[in-house]
Amino acid sequence: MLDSLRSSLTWLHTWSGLLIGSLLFTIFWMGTLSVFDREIDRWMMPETRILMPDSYISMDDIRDAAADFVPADSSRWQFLMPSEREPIIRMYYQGPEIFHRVHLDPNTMEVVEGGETLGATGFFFPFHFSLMLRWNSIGYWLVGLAAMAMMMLLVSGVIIHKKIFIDFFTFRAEKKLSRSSLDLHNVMGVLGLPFHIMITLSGLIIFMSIYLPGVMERTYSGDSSNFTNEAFGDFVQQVANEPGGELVSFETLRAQAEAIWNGSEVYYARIWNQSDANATIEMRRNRDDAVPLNLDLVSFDGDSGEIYTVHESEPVMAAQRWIAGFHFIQFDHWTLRWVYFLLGLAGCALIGSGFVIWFETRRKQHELEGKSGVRIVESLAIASITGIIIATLAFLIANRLLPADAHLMGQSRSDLELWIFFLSWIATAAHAGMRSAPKTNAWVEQCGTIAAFSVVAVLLNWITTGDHLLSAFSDGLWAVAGIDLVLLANALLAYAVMRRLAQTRASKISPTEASPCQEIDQIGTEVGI
Amino acid sequence: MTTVKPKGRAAISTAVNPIEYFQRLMLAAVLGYFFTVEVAGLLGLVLTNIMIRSEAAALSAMLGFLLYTFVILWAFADRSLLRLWITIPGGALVCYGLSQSLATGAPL
Repeated sequence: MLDSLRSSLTWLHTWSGLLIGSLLFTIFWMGTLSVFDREIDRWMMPETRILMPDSYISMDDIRDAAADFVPADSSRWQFLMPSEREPIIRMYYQGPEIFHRVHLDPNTMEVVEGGETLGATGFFFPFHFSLMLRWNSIGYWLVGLAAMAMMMLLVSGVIIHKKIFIDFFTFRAEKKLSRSSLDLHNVMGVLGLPFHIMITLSGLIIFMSIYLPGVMERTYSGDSSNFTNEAFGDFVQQVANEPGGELVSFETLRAQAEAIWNGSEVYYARIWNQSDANATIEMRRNRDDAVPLNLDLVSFDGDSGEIYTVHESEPVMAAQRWIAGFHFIQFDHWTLRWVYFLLGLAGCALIGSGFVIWFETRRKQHELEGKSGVRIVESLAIASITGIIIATLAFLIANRLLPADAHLMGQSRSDLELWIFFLSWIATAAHAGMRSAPKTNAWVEQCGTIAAFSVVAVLLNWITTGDHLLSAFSDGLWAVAGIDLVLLANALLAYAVMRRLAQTRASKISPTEASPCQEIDQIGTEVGI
Repeated sequence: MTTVKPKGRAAISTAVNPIEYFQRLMLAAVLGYFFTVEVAGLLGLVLTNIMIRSEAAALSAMLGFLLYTFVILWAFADRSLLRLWITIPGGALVCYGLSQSLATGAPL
């Protein structure tokens, strides 16, 4: 497009990064939180802070307990067996109108009652891949668009580099902001490059049938409706429209399935059309012990216990499931889970520093020419970076403050939590917009808010549940203690950033300092960014 | 395309003309998408000769994301707009024709 490949791609990298940066940061932030979704769930659902029972948990007991509340004509219900990370039986069922979520205590098989909340598995996680915009799957497509942009940004970012090896080791934090943020952008980009490329590509591949349905259609010569069944093994027997008898013993089915998998455990069961003569019961194989999100399942006739189908992935789908499992990190590996969390934050830093480079290299010029670009972009960056962190903390605080039966104007408790998240986010954007240039004030104030909110969240957890750090540690509630510790670390970090920003503002930078950012000057000259 | 020699950071993005930019954006995001679908779709159809359908579809869709990344970069990197206007929509049409002919057994 311009004189050289490098200038064209620099231009593309700069402007598409600016355009898509806010959406990308949101997706990376929510994805990073989702690495610890079950731990955040324990924090937000104190009634589920249960220790796993030592005794064997019978699926027949779960079936009998479910009979008390799942309607007999429910078209489907399903449950996940408890695990160390989620020591409750998480159950979903189709009610007359909506799809319900219920938790059972594996010790007593009683429903665990608590304040209604979506938690991380119900909000951060779906927001990460669908933005919770259901209309025409528009949310999925926006996330897909951002992911493709990220792929392009990563590849173009590598191409426009001059000294990729040197950049690996270069971070001059004491230099001027435009220089040090470019260094930070390069270090985060180069250090995390394999992770960023793989996490983005795997995210796209997980939803391949949503993003590239045309490919399936061509491959199937027009009618690809069988793709999902053939590739993913989904199987539901046609309803007979005749009443069926009692469901068979789940324990017998479980034993059969586990024998087929050489002892690998069943972690999930789904029951279709339970009152019909052709009820289907599906048992799925555990995924904790290996990377792939395997699709191994056995489907049984719910009345006779006869096997309908046994599904195992073919080689390509097995590879696809490995890629999906790499993205989801649901297998048991605590070290890797922390590495993912840190690399996810590195991705956030990469995107955030990209914003900073954009407006720091243009600030003086825009001030001279009286342009408003820097002011607008910086406000956007503030709302996207510190704003979403504040909104997340407000969501956690609301979760601890709202009474269990809270409702307002037809909105349920979990709706109110969402309202607080989005209204706080909008408030941070308004605050960033109102604080006039230079924006240092807005950054300082929002960092201060983050520090304060983090501490408040930890204190509220203590006050409302009694599980303060020491007691959580001594009771073995590692998830709760971990979230509290991360919140406290976050408070310290935000406070340190606030102090540093306030100092920088106080001590004016000497105007005689030599050109701080030669490389950008040079590229800027070449490309005119 | 006109190249105004910009002076340092003073010249902000004046180097790219908006009409050209819009064309490249369309070529990358919209036509590039259909190009990807048709090329990967044809690959999938051909692969059904050596593997089962669901496997062929999954493999070509996964490769499709890499192809699409390349097409987007290419749409902005290639200096010749004409070449892009011929190759991207043209390639999509050719692959579509081949897929239809393979699927129905009719000659092109």
